[in-house]
Amino acid sequence: MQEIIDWIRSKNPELEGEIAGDTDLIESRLIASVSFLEFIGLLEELSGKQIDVTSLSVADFRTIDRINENFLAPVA
Amino acid sequence: MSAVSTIEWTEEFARAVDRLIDVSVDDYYNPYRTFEWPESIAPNDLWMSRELLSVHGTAAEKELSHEQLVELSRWESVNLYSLIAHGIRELLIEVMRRIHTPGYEIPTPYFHHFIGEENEHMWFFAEFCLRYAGRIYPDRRMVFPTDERAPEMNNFIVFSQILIFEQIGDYFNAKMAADTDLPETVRAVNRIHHRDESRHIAFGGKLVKALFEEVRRTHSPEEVEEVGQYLRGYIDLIIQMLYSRDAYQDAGIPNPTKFRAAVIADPARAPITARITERTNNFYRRIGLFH
Repeated sequence: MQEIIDWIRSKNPELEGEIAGDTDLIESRLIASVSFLEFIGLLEELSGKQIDVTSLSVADFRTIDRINENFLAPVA
Repeated sequence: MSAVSTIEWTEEFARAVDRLIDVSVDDYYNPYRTFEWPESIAPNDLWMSRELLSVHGTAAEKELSHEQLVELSRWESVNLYSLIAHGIRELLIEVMRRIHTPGYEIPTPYFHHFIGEENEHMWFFAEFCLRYAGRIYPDRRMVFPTDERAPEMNNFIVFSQILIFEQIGDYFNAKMAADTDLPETVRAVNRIHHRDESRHIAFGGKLVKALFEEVRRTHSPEEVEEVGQYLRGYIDLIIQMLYSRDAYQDAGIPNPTKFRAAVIADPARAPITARITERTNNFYRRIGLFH
């Protein structure tokens, strides 16, 4: 999980304060569509599984909690 | 959707639209009869020019045998054509939303040709993938709701994305059309696409320039700067999509995710990326968005 937070911080160096589990990463623009592909690559690396983006929606990536639940929980 | 009635289409733009329509009519061809589509394509030849492969110049390239490079060239060409097919679908949706709507009266006659030609491009690239590889790679992008902005900014971004995508794709098409070492069918799809895209890129450049003037009139320098950053991110996204985990996996490369990360990070790629994006960066410098 720390890897995800580190990645978000690397993309948003001006960000101060904590990123909570329920922070809306989309509305707050912490994850943007232009960096999404890189983010998916990170999730695949962490989970060891390929992600089929076509079967997912923005809601699946909205918070750290949702990301954890959808992609990382089984290996966490 | 987008209220664009304030866009000032210049006389020069209107004349360019007329000229491009004339060329489109004169160059019109039946794509369904243009290609030979042989049963198979030489399995032992490269399907993509060696210098266009994503591994070119990297340390990882040296670890691959000639057979692995041939296999990779097959799947990277499928990746490129899949990206083009998906990109065309998205751009057609945006042009369809605007054709015959208020504000677009001047470019609309050319939109008809653009839509027709792009549909045909999508067909022949998809046909190539399905015939010779049995699949099209899925689109891994996602559009976020926060990408929506003020109408004139949105118009500028949408047509910029179309132009950027076409310019980068054309870099590959032009080189592959001219590469006499590639199989004829590969060269043919790239040649035809390159010919049509030269018109679309000429049109896109004039359209984006007009839309940018509108953005500059209606937005603060800070907002203009921010959209410049956004488009730099989009260029980077297109470049990243050329490094396909699916292609590495289908080419039989072990641990494709790690391989992809290593290839992207290889310092040999930076000057190659600079060449691929040179035309786009020059365009945005010329119109005053990039510095």
